[in-house]
Amino acid sequence: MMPVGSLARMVVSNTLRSPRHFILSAFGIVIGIGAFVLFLALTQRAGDTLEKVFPVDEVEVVAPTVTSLVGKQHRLEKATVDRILARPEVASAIPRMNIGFPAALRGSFEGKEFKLELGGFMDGVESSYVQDDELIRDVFRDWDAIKDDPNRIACVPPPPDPDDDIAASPTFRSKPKKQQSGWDAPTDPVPVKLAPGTPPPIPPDYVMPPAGQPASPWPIEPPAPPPAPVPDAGSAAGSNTGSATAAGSNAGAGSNAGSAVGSAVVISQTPPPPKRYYNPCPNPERYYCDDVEKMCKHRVPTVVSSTIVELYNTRFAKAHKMISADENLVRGLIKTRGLSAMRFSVGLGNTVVGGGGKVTQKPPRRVEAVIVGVSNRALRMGVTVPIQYIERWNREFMGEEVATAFSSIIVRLKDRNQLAPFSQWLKDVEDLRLEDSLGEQFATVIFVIRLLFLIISVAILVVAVINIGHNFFIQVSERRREIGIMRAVGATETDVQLIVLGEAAIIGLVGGLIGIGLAVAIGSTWNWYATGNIPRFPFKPTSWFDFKLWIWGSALGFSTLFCILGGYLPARRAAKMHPAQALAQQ
Amino acid sequence: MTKSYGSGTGKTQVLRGVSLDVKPGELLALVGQSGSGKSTLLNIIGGLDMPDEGEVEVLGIDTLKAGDTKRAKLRNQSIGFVFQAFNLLDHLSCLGNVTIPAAFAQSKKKEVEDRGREALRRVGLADFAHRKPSELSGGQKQRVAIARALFGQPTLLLCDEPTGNLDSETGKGVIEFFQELNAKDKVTLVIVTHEKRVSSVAKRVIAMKDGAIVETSEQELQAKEVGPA
Repeated sequence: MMPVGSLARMVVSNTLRSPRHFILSAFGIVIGIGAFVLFLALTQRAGDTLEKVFPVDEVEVVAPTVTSLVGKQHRLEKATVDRILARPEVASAIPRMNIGFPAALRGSFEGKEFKLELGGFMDGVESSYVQDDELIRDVFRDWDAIKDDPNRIACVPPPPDPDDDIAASPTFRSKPKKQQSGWDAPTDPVPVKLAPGTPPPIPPDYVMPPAGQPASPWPIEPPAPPPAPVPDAGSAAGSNTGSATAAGSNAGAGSNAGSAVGSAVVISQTPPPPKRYYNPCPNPERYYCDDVEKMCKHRVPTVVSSTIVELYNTRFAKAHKMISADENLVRGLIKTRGLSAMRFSVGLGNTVVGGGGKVTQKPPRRVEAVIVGVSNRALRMGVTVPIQYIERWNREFMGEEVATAFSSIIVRLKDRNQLAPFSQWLKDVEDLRLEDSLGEQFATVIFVIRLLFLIISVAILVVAVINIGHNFFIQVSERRREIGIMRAVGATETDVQLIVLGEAAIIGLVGGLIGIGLAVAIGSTWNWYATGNIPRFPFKPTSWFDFKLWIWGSALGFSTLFCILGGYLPARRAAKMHPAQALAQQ
Repeated sequence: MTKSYGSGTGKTQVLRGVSLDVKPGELLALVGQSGSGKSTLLNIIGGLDMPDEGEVEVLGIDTLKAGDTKRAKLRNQSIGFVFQAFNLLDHLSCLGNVTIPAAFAQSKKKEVEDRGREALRRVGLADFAHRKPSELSGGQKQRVAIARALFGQPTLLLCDEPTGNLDSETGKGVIEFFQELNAKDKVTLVIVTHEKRVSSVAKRVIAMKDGAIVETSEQELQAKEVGPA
């Protein structure tokens, strides 16, 4: 065989001297590879988006909704989790627990006040399961379990809000709403006896509202009209005297959950007058004064799903002329306005359904919560908190039985192919079932679409290969004399074959690169066009194509391989050409 | 050996039992009419063609039994070809054409270039290294082709009508060069020709007709006119 260097030089030189042949041969490859890369990148992005919404590598074990006649209790308990974990095909099993009683949310976002139902739209999961970003890893945990938290000191709860039928704790509900007009602010909301270390009572700069206007401890209202589109939250974060006021934007989750519950949302279209947010706790960024325990407690960390953010954007924000948000905005708000930016109140045992009010035997009470991030492990339609909170609240409001029953168990298998035996075991032994996975159905659809696109690309490539073969046959025929000369001066059959195949490979390589360039150019143009011209829809991507390195690699590999295939027969003909006859050609 | 082309009714017998022995250092002329089989015989000697029957041994190598690689190596290192139509590659420079055999053997670039320039110098075209064949006259082209044939310092030079496309003056120069090559460098030459002035310088002239050797003339003898080519 001729030296590789000589072969490469000869191949490049031959390619350069016949640009027409090159263009004719490469055209089909450029189109085919362009389509191949574009389709793959598009379906790759679709798959990634799907995985963001539905973690497709996990299955959800649920109890059958119809009670079995055999009388077996279909409860998902700790023991169930342990039995599932003992299965050889299971890598991990994480239980989820729904809130078992009504609860309501009250918050505001960008000046709009929300009241949302949370019962059925809130669940709990192990903190370790939700690890999406640094902030979530840091904050998403059971803060009440920390025994020696220096911030947990006694405090004076804020004055009652007589207007609050959602989140106020019982002591604040003593005054009927009718008394709003002419209502007297509590003269002495401060317990006289202060425990050591208790912060001062209501600070002197706490402005009580004038008569006829409700005083509110509601930790949401903007202190003053914000100077810029993005209100400055720094003042709220900076002070722990409680005199500082809150940022005007909170409860992104509230707004999202709102769309989930539909009519259960009440929005006040005109922002209420400015009120002060009274927070006597140290580190008010994270801590609030609990109405019942009269202790400073860390706000309950919550995460929301990207589905919720998308629902807010596509349905809610538009309808109510509010700013649209994305995951980055949620992170950005927390980053710029502090961890208290997305805080809201939860009225445990209250509801907004049917006019609102108390619905449980136990007296309702208010806790404060805060959105700490967006996670694909969050409840798709609602908010998710560390499971210990839900367990405690369920125990408090519904009793032990509810506090020990999980709503579902998220199971990750060691190998997805073992899904069938695991599913069978669940059905036969545990009498449980797998939740229908919407993600799996979507994944199948995307798989089929990708397959279809690939078939189209391969069809184009096959046509290109036939075209290349045809062009090379013509060229080999035109270069008979040249081949004869090379044979006369010492080229073997293999050398001639390699020269022709090398030229085909170069067409594949360069055609592939141009095809990739074409795909990227088309993709970028489409992205640019779609940004301004395609209306927003759920999970609309900023870039529609994900040009992964493996797509580029396989595109180059395929184009080269296909061209070599196309050049094979002509190369063989060239190699087998009779040198004496080839030389006789004039 | 025998050789035929085509099949069935279109089959043409080109060589009919030709037997030939060329001695080292010999200057042999093959003469005869068109279609007498002399070019086919030359191609078979050079390993560019194969006989249907018979044996061929060139420089100690049985070219029938040797594989393609061995025959290619033989052509690359020991045999030079000069054709009537020059057979230069138009896209390469003169130097590129002369050094093209080096592409099929392990060699150093500098050494290849030096040898190429030396070959060009020998044929009097030292200054034409970077010219394209299209810029040369017929005689110059043939000299480049001879330089290419000499590049591998062959022991056997096979020439097929080397002066066929040249005017008489240029042709004369080429013949003299071949004579010098044969005398000084002891290169064995087999020249296919139908020109008397070419065959007259041969030590032995073999006349062919209809695929067979009809006459052999030794060194002192002048070649016989066997008819117009």
